[in-house]
Formats: sequence, structure tokens, C-alpha cells
Amino acid sequence: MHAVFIAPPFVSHLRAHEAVAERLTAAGHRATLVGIPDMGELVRLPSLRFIPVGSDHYPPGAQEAAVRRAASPDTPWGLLGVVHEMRRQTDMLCARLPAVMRGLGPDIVVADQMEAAGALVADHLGIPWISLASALPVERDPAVPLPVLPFDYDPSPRGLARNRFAARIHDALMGDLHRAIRRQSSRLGLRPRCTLADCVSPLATVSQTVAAFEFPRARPERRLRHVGPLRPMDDSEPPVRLPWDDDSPVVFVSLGTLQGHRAGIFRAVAEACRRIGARSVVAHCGGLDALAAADIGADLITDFVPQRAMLRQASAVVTHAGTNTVFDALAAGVPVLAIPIAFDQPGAAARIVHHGVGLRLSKRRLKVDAVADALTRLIDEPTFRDQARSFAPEVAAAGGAARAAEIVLHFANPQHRSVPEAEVTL
Amino acid sequence: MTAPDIILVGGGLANGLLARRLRMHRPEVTLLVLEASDRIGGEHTWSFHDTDLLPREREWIEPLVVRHWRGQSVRFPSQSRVLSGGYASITSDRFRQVIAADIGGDNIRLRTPVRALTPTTATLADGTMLTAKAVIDGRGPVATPHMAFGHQVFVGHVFRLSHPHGLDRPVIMDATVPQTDGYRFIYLLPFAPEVLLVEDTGYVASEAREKHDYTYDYVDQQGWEPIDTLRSEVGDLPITLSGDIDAFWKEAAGVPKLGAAGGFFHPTTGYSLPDAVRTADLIAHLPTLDAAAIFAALEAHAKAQWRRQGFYRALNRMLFLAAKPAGRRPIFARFYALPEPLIARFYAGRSTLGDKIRILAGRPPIPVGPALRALAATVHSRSH
Ligand SMILES: Cc1cc2nc3c(=O)[nH]c(=O)nc-3n(C[C@H](O)[C@H](O)[C@H](O)COP(=O)(O)OP(=O)(O)OC[C@H]3O[C@@H](n4cnc5c(N)ncnc54)[C@H](O)[C@@H]3O)c2cc1C
Repeated sequence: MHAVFIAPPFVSHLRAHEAVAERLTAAGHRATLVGIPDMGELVRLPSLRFIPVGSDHYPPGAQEAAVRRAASPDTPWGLLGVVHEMRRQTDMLCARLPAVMRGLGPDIVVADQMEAAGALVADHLGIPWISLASALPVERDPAVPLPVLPFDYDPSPRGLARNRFAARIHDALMGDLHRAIRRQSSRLGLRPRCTLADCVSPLATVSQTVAAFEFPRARPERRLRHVGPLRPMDDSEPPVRLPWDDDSPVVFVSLGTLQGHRAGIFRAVAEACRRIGARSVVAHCGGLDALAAADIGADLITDFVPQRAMLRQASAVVTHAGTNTVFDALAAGVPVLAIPIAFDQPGAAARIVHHGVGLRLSKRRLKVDAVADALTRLIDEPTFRDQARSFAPEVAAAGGAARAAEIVLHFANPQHRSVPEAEVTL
Repeated sequence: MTAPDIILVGGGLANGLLARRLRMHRPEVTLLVLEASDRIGGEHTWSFHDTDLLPREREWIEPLVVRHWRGQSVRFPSQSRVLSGGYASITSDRFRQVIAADIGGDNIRLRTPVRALTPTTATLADGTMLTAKAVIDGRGPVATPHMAFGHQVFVGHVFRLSHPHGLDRPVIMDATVPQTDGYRFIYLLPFAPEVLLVEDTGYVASEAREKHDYTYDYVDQQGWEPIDTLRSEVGDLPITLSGDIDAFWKEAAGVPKLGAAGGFFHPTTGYSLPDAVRTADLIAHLPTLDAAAIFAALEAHAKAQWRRQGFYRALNRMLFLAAKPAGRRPIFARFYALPEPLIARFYAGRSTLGDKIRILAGRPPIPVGPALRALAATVHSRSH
């Protein structure tokens, strides 16, 4: 069996794909990743074959600029830059993937929900594909606000109207990408598609979320499979040696792989920790240079820290509410202080608040006092920790990458493709 | 639409070349191509040696050739060698341009898989039955109980590299690579200073084997850095070990079979382009173009060829059945130490008796016992 993975060139998405690819290749199957040349540098899994495409538009080194753009998606021009970048890459991949994909002849394509080209090209070539939601799934529902929105769950008529209205604004902002998806689907001879949600696989979406964390849908999505965090097989991380030996509570601070340059947030959180007598451990994921890092005033600051091990030692985590960190926190039963920045983070933060596993602060007007208050509550009030811990068994049982790989294999088998989805029991 | 004279089932190499030849010699004959996929010609690089074709044969396919090289080389751990014979390649892209213009877009139906065919009808997936004076089956390699095949499997990519690769001629076999599960080699076509086809090829016994892809390891070792992939191709070519040619053509029940479907390929190398050129010429020059006449001509041609090719099949059996996978490379290494004219005749399927003796003579590359058994092995038709 040969699976081709199509993902946007972002580390967090790539790691999720790699986790699934690792299970497949460990079972003797083949896995290939296709993407812009720079993505090759990010691939860590040796058994995942990387195939670069599009050097004419994305010469080696081009990705850095794109990441820089994606790093400020919280400003209007920043967001338009991100949408423009997605559009450019979708257009390039739609043009270049067919000749490569046809030649690779995969049994199945695993298409990240954030890159429409995977789905469009697979559909064009008649290759079955499944969607992978590295972030919150894009499947729309009247009762569920779009993941990019900070709205709380409100299934009342008012809430539904609010969701509808916000979706229209969102779609207007995404216009550049939506026009490209429409153009490419017609060029590839497919039924008209417009949004990323229109590009999801009819077979299944494998999502890094767990069902209980999601807002209840008005129209249940049977094809959405919540398998929980997609993590490498060897997930053993040794405990982090902390350079102090007192038992003050530890607060772990991470803004993920794209937002590690936000020194202001780090500084405020470090200061708040000092005030409440907690130790702060900051992972900036390479977003800061040594000088800037030293200036944060954290008890410990590094570029990367083994996150899951660190969380086991933490009393609370401060995060941008990226899916990876949130689910690692839930798996470890650690309450979350969410400071969402962009993408699906406002949606994840809304869910955190909704389920009582943490609190949310706005990154604008971020006051040290407010951070200190929130952290005190998260550490002192047991309900947050209890709620967070109540998710741990569900995250552990969701199946993760092993289950995701089973689903991929299931649909790679030609006999299973025509089975009506309602009858598929995996 | 009025019924065409000839329906070509499958828009692949053999049917495409036949269509081109018919357009040249029999412009009055109407054609309809039914192709299952969304394009004719698939995703291939078809190459041939200069000596495989006569000048007049070469002439009419010249527009399809994207690149010609003077010379080619082979590499083994024991020796490397530059052969002076020229080599040329046709790509699917060029094939599509030229052949589609020959046939005319209106006469090609894409996404039209044929479910069943008889000498004069083709039945589509929706049950529609089309009729013609002749229906030609060019659907590519098929499973048949009357032939036993080994496999030549490959995975290839056309890369753009960050720096020039420095090759000025094809490397048709670099067999210095690890010999994992059969005879393996890397095949290199330098299309441009920074553009290179790298293909990982293996002669393996089992079709069930997953196609591994060592091209990247190889590219790494050479110090090349791919920054782009212009296209990829995978293939699984049949290598004929033995068979019952009479039963094979009887099975066709009067439907003319062309290309890989008709067994028209070099038994050892799997190359089918020269055969496709010759069968196209053969058909285009027939006095009548109905199913019976085309079938009879192809069947006679195939059977005569089959008799001439016994040596190559025996060699294949030695390769696949007698030699252990690790023992296959020395057979090729020894072959490529032989004189160039002999190698050229081998490619062209025209080895002389003297050639055959020289290929087999010398230090036996494999134990004599298994070799004799392999030479004697035949498959028996299951149909009688
Ligand atoms: C990647 C690759 C590289 C090769 N390189 C060389 C080379 O260098 N030199 C050489 O001489 N040979 C080469 N070969 C071998 C040989 O030339 C090819 O296999 C050749 O394409 C065979 O020609 P064909 O016309 O028989 O079949 P194909 O070219 O395979 O064409 C068959 C066509 O029929 C269509 N089809 C199948 N079933 C149906 C159906 N039911 N209804 C309608 N259409 C159908 C297919 O979609 C396809 O388009 C190569 C083969 C491959 C796969």
C-alpha cells in the first residue's frame, strides 16, 4: 500500500502527518510526502519519502518569508498575506501535483484540510483520499462557530444567526483562496468547490481532536473521526531536569512553532509567575535569539523542551491554544491559560473555557495582573485541574496515530470505498 | 456518429503509433480511440537504442523524440563502460501532443473504459456497444494463464537539481547499488544540465512486492540535491519466462492485440517501442483492414517472433529461476563486458547463434543444474 501525504509546510501539520506515516511504514507500507522544496528540511521521519515540487515558484529558502507572514496572521494585512500565500501554494500544487501523483500511483492520498490541492488533485485523478485535520476540523455546522472565531457555543436562534453572519465575513476575507479553489476545481473537471470545507473527503476526516472537546454539532458528522493527538510511536520523553530544587508550582509557557517571537507575551507571563511565586519554563521554539530570550526573565527559557514530559511536571500551561499544545495539556490533565493569536486558536480557546479546563485572556491588553490572577485560579481552584484530568482518559483512548493509520488502510482497500459511510465500522 | 472503421481500445504507445501510421498511409480510414484514463499516453519515458530501428522506421517517429544522446554507459562494481550506441527518448507529454494532433481530438474519447470487446464491438461501462470493422486491443500488460512472467518494476522521478549533474549521456544501468531483492540498478537520463530522470529498477520474481524507491538514497550519494520533481512514473513490466503462444492467441478469440497486450515487447528488457513501430507498419500496409486480416497478421507475426525469442526467455528463466537474487548481477556484468555489436544485436532482439553461445559461454555464471532445469521449464496451458 502506498499513501501520499499533502500538507502545508508548517511543522505542526507536518508532525501530525509524520505520525500517521510512521505507523504505516512500520507496518511495511510506503508513505510519500509531496510539497515545496523547503519542506524537505522539516521532515524528520526517515521512512517518509519527500518529493519536492514547485521550485520555480518556491526556490529553496522561500518558505522562511511565508512563515514570517504566517507569524503575524492576527493583523488584517497579515491575514490577507496568509490567505494569499495559501492561494499561491494551492495554485502551484494543482498545476504540478497531477504529473507527480499520477506517476506515483498511490492507493490513497492523505490531504491536510488546510491545503485544498491534495483533495482536488486526488479527486481529479480518481484516487481515494481522506482528510486530515491537524487543527480544528473545517467541517461546517450551523451550531458550531468557525474555528477562527472566539465565540462560545450557543445553539439558540441568536447564536445560529451570529455564526452565519460571521461565516459570511470570514468567507469574504478568504475570497482570494476561495476563488482559486473554484477556478482549480473547474480546471480539473470537478464539481464546483469554493471553501476548504467543500474540499473534505467524502470518506473520512481524521481529526486530532477528541469528540468530547468539540462543540456538539446540529448535524452529526459520521465521517469525522476524532482520533486525538497524532504523536510519534516512540513518545517516551525523559523528565525535564529543572535547575532548581524547590517545589514551587511550575508554569509551562509555549506559543507553538509559529508564534515563538512574541516576546511581550512571554515577558508578561514570566513576570506574573514571579509575582505569584511560580516557576516559569518558556519554550520559544526558535522564535527568539539568545539576547531576546535572556530578556524575558523566565526561570528557564529554551527553544525546545520535550513538551509532554514538561507538561507532566507543570501545574498550568500558558499557550496560544494551538491544537498540539492543548491536547498534550489535556492528555496530561493540566489546566490551560489560553492566549489565542490566530487561525483555529480562538476556537480552541472557546472550547477550553466552555469545558472549564482553563481560562482565556486576550493577547491585546495583556496585563501582568490579569495573567497572575488567572494563573492563581488555575493552580489553586481544583475544578480546572479536575476538568482537565477528566479529558485524559478520552485522549488516551482516542487511538491516535495507530487508529488514523487503520482508517487510512481501511479506505486504501478498494473493497471499502463503495461502502456507504454509515455502515463503515472500524 | 457513424461507425468508425477501426476502434483502438487504449490510448497507449502501441495504439498511438498505429494511429499515427494509419494517418500517414491510410488517411481514408476513420479511427476512434477509447481511453480509460483522463489522458492518452499515461506517464512514461519510452526509450530506444539507435540500432533498434531501421532508418525508415526511425524517420516517422522522429517528431516524438524529445532527446537523443550519443553513447550510453553502464556501471558495475567490477567495471564501468561507455558504449558508443546512440539512445533516444520519447516522453508521454510529447506523445500526447503529436498523437492527439494526428488522430484529432474528436476521435479520442477519454475517461471511457471498455468493459468487453469482440473483433468488431467494444462495450463501454454503461453498456453502450460501439461497432467497427475492427477493434484493436491495446490495453497494456494483462494477466493471462498462458504466460509466466517475471517482473521488472521501477519507480522514477524527473528531478530538477540545485546544481548541474555533470552527465552528458544516459547511464542505462548503474548496478553498483545494493542488490536487495533481485537484480537492481539505477537508470539515469540527463534531459538537461540540471534535469535528470532517476529510475530505480529491479528484476524481481514477485509482482506482489511493494515498489521501494531508492532513487533518493542514490541521489544523496551522488551529492545531488533535487529541488523539484517535474513528474514521476512507476511501472511493472512483464518479463516473459515461458508460455503457450498458441493458447495465448486462441484466448484472444479473434480480437487483434497490440503492444504489451499482445506480448509485443523485448522478452528480457521489456522495451516495447521498437515492436510498436513495427506492428504499426505491418498493419498500415495490410491490403484490407478488417478484424480478421489484422488478427491474422498480428498472430503470424507474434508466433514467428516467439520462435525467434526462445533464447531470451531461456535467459530470463536463468535470471529469475536459477540465479539467486544476489547472483543476478554478475550475469549482467559479464554481458556488458562483451563486444558492442553483440550488445546492440541483443537489444534489438537479433542475437546470432554465435552471440548466444558467447552470452552463455565462459565461466557459468550460475550453477549448471538449476540452469538446465530453468532452461527446460515451461508452463502448461491451463486451458486444455
Ligand atoms: C514507466 C514506463 C517506462 C517504460 N520505458 C520503456 C522504454 O524506455 N522503452 C520501451 O521500449 N519500453 C518502455 N516501457 C515498456 C512499454 O513501452 C510500455 O509498457 C508501453 O507503454 C506499452 O505500450 P502499450 O501500448 O501496450 O500499453 P500502454 O502504453 O500501457 O497503454 C495502454 C492504455 O490502455 C488504457 N486502458 C487500459 N485498460 C483500458 C480499458 N479497459 N479501456 C480503455 N482503455 C484502457 C490505459 O489507460 C493506457 O492508456 C516502459 C513502461 C513503463 C510503464
